[in-house]
Amino acid sequence: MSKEETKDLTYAQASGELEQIVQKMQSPECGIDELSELTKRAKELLELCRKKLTATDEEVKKILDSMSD
Amino acid sequence: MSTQQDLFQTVEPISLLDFNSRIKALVNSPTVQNCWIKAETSDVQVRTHCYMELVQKNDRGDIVARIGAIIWGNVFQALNAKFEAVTGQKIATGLSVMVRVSASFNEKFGLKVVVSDINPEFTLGDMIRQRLEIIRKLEAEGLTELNRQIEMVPVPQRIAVISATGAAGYGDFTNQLNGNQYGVKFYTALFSASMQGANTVPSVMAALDRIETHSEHLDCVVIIRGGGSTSDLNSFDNYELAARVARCALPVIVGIGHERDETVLDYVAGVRVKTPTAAAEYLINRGVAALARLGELTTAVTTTAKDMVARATEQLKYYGDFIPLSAKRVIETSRLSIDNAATAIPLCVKGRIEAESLRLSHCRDIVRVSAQQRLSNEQTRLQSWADKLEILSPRNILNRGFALAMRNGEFVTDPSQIKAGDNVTIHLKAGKVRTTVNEVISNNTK
Repeated sequence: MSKEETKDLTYAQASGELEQIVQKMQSPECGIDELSELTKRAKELLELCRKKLTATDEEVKKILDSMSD
Repeated sequence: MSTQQDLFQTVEPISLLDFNSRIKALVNSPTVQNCWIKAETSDVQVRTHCYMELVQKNDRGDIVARIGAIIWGNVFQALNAKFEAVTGQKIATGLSVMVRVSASFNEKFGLKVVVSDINPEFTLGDMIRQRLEIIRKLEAEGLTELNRQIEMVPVPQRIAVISATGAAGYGDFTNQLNGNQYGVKFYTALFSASMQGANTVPSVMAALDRIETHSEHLDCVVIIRGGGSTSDLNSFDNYELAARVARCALPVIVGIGHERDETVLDYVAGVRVKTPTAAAEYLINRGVAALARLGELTTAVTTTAKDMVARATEQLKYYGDFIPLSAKRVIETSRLSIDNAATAIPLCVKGRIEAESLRLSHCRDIVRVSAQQRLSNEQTRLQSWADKLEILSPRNILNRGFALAMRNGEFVTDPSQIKAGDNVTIHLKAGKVRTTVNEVISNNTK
């Protein structure tokens, strides 16, 4: 998945994928070769999720302000 | 005609005031004083005093009785407070009430009743009964579970708020939400509506309609009403409004609650909380839970990766140590087994040779013994044959006195072989005799 596509994920999608990745990492089938890729993706998703929760999304703010009475 | 004229001449009319005074005297009768009556309120207006109509309707809703009523200002304050304490709402239009009234007639203003007391429990009972009827209907139509079935996103951040503009509750809600110490961001859009009085139902329903046109940009709806605990909640015990909330495309959080108990909206809401502040807390808590989970996942990712690398390193080290050791061990083991073989082979060969020699010697003995046996048997058999031959030999026969006749080199065993005059040689034990045949006598001639 490209950086752009990742950015468009909703919090629910990103956190859902993250839960799956962590589960996969913790499973005995996960090999050291997969690990690096999974860790990288997990960190990307963690960052995205945290940002979605705590950083102001100006675009969303603008949309909601415009519909407000 | 004369009678009528007589009447006008003999009867002195009284003044209206006098007449009304008589009515007033009648109305003061104890039968219409301090009576507890049940009625419905209508056209309630509060000025210095509280004015209203008390009405009674039949089953079809037609008014069958009506009278104007007044609650004097000082009495009204006390009654209204008492009424609100029990029912959670002020004395207003459309309530079923039980009031103590006294008929009062004023010569100038006519008849009305003065309300001196009210039984709030009566109204409460009626409200509860009405609310239960609505709730039963909503349940029967499956509307109480409808909104709860809409999935709420993990952290609803884009929130449509239905509230009265400038209401204290709305301020409390947004302040709490935006000032949360965890840094969770929320975005709110206000859809203003009347939150009390007759306009509540249509204006909240209209706000829901407007919200649904933006639903792709929103996560949930929060309906809040603010301020004190003594506001008019009656408007929310409404079937149409409850059904509309139930059918909302977004999950609805209702925070219009009251200390007394819930309204029917609480039964259809996706999430119900007591107050606007509690609604904000609910949303913040979802954010906090999500942040906590992200923390756990961060730890899980880091430790899992670290552990796996550490395990792999350890395994490599193990192999690094183990392989030379293992090779040495393999060589030693091989050498030992070669040595063992070297020792074992001669021993084994010797043993085998001895065993085979023994077997050979045994065989040789068996061959020898059985050959001797066989020879001896054959000799015995030959001897027996020799003995038999000896007995059967012509010589032996001759010895025993028998003679052998021959003619022209052939043995004569049948007289038909010869005839009289033939020369026959007779062999005896000690020699032979040439003789001429005189007569042939065959054994067959008898």
